[in-house]
Amino acid sequence: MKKRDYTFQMINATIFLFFAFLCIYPFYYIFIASVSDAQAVAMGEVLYFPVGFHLDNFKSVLKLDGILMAFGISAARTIIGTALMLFFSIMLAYVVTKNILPGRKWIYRATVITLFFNAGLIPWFVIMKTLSLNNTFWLYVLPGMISPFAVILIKTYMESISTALEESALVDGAGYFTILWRITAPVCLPVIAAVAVFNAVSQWNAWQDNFFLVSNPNLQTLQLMLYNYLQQAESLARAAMQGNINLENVAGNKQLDSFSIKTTITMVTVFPIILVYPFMQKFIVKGIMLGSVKG
Amino acid sequence: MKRRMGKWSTVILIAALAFNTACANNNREQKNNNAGEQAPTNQGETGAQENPREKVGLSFWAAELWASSPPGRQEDPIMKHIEEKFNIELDMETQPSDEKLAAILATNDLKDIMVIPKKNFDQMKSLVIDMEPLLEKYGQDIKKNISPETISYYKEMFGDGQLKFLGSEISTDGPVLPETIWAGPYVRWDYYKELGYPAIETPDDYIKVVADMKKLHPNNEDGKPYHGFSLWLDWGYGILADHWNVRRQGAEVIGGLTNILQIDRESFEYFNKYTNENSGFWADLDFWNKANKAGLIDPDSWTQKYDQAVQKYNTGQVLATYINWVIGGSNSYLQSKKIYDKGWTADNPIPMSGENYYYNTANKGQNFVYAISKDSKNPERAMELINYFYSVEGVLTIINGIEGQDWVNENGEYTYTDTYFENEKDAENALKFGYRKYANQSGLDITGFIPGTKNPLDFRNNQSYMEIQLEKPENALKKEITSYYNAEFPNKIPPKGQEYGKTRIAELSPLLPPSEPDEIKLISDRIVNYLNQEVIKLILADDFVAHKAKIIKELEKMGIDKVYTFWDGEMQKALSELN
Repeated sequence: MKKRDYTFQMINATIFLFFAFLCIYPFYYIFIASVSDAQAVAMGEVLYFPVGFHLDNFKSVLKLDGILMAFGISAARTIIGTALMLFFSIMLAYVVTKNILPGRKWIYRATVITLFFNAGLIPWFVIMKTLSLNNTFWLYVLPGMISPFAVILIKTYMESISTALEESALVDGAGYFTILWRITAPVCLPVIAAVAVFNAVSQWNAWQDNFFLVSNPNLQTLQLMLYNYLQQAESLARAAMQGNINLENVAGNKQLDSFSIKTTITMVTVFPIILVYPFMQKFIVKGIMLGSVKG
Repeated sequence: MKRRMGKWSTVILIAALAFNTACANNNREQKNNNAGEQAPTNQGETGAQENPREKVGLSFWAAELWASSPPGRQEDPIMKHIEEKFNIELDMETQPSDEKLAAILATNDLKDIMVIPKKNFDQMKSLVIDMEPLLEKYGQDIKKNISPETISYYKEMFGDGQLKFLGSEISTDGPVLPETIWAGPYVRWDYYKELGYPAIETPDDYIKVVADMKKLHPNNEDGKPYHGFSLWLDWGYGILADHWNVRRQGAEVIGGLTNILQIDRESFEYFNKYTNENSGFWADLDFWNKANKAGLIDPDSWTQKYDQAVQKYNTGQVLATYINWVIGGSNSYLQSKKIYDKGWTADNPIPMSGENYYYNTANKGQNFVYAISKDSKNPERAMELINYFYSVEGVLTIINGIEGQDWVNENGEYTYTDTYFENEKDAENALKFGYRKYANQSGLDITGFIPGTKNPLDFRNNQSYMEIQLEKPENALKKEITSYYNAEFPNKIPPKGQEYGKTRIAELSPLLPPSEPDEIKLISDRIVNYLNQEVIKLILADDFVAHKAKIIKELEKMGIDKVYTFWDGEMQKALSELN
């Protein structure tokens, strides 16, 4: 290797390592803050390594009543919601690529327009109640069955596939359903994987539907449960500050610091979904590059 | 190809229709199920006359709880006790956000019992029942403890002649203790003692005391440098300029986005706080300008948020504040180091001349009102429960716990049991044992007396309780301050010969419009945006007087007089209604 190349490589590596550090550090900081003494964090003493290491925050969160059930609900809505979204969005994307479908442009526009115009909370609330989706698991998965964003991406990808592929299948006697699921969808795997990940993340993080319309504790999502826990910690901390709680019992109570609770909750919620990324990475890169390079 | 496409379109259409039908069936089934569930309830209504203890389900929209708790059935012993007593299952909405309330109002999906902020009563008026016919049979405690004048007031002001809403936290005989003076000179007491307890008679004295403390102790116990004050601006300029000196002048601020009126607590005389150069608003800003010139303000103040400022107080990095609630955490910081005899004056500020001491009376209630939904299947049972929250027994229970278990009444003297004292040590006692968890649902003002007696409703306000508390090692500092001022109890530091006043100002708020008309709001918005930026410049200004004059001139150009004229008219109306 020439000296000039070596220097370039070194500078390049340094810059990107620094960039990687900037990306990773916030997550790392959240982790070390969640296992450090709350006061050390507040004093700014925790920067690179945990100070006063403890797992009390995690123990408290994992001991919450019904957390396993809530985890199951969040996991179920993520898996079922994403599967339903993929199934119906792929079908819709496919049919709107077909010129022979009457009113296809209108169907497509009606779908896309929902990306830009949102009726707001109250109409959504009224519709969900009218459909009797309140207090049911279906509230989590049915309203998101068609994702306009996914439809746009998948449709665009499908249009880039050679029509010869489909025509030859038709000649061989395949129907539309067979062509879609046996030929077109497998070719669209990168974009499908990308939208699947986006949807899974948003399903995993969702809690507002639960907050507004589901009061059944057996249908509580992990996110809402942790939100409630955070509220409790904050109200406790407020009460302590206002002298409504005996300070003797508050002093040294690591859990009372809402920042520690926030970091712990962030770790608990981010960790499971972050595992999805490495497995889907190669598809995601291809998927999000869609449309960015022509030819 | 067309034919195949058509075939698939038909299949999808049929599937969609089938799904829709299933949903609708489900909807109907659910409604039927609900009706089925309600069937016994309907029988219960009839049965209620024969057997009032028939078990029914009631839903309850709660005012914010003192300990945040997930919605649904509440598991604490106090709620279990109430459920058992009334043979009900109470489904409680414990996260009463404005958005959720708007949604249930839009869908007419009220809970059986609603405890809502007064500002929302107008939207709900047509959705709730007149409670008066139920009072005779199910509301005897309300009739006993709430004066007929107060009931008439709610009928006239909130229900067009009907008792659709009834205020909560109604004061019957004034509060036991005076209002905590939460805005004033709060300092680190042991440093103040070291300085020889210098008198703080004016805001300038306060600045001098804090500056001297900083000279004496530039660093805290952990070697971190002290700031004199740490401020935050994410709440807007009002937090810096609407509190301390306004209250020193015996006043409050009120009136829309700009809080334009400075109104006297007792006489209800008011003026435009922006154009009156001697208002508390300008006095507060003058104070901050001088504190900044003395180098006492944390330089992060102009960019940091509330949480960050509080973190600094909680880790003992700030010497003083003029708002007491941020300073409680500073004492926990010292207590975590097992230091109990040093710390901040968190209960009352250093007494100073001109400070206004008063009792806050709310004989028309505070911010919330009770109502019963028109759709309630069990209005009688709902009324019974509401009545409980206005009864002495009910209020004592939701505040102090269960009689015989958490407290006892021996010959008219109310005392906590060892169980209570043991449970109270748990920082989560409100959540686990329910103590004061439902305080905001109380019909009677919990800071007051048991009607007709001199016993406090909250036994923590008993002299004997406070004496026990002061003897605890962790309250050594509190005890020292209390005995230094020769006070009866910690938040009754003698006001140097000043009389305690009384105010009814809390009753004015519901009589004023909750928002401004659009043309006034537009001006107010512009003023608030302008002041949010200009107040910082004023605090940092070398020539305070000149900069202040420039701001007043600019506010006049922006139309501050129009805002004042609007609120002046509204205030006149409110005062005539109040009287």
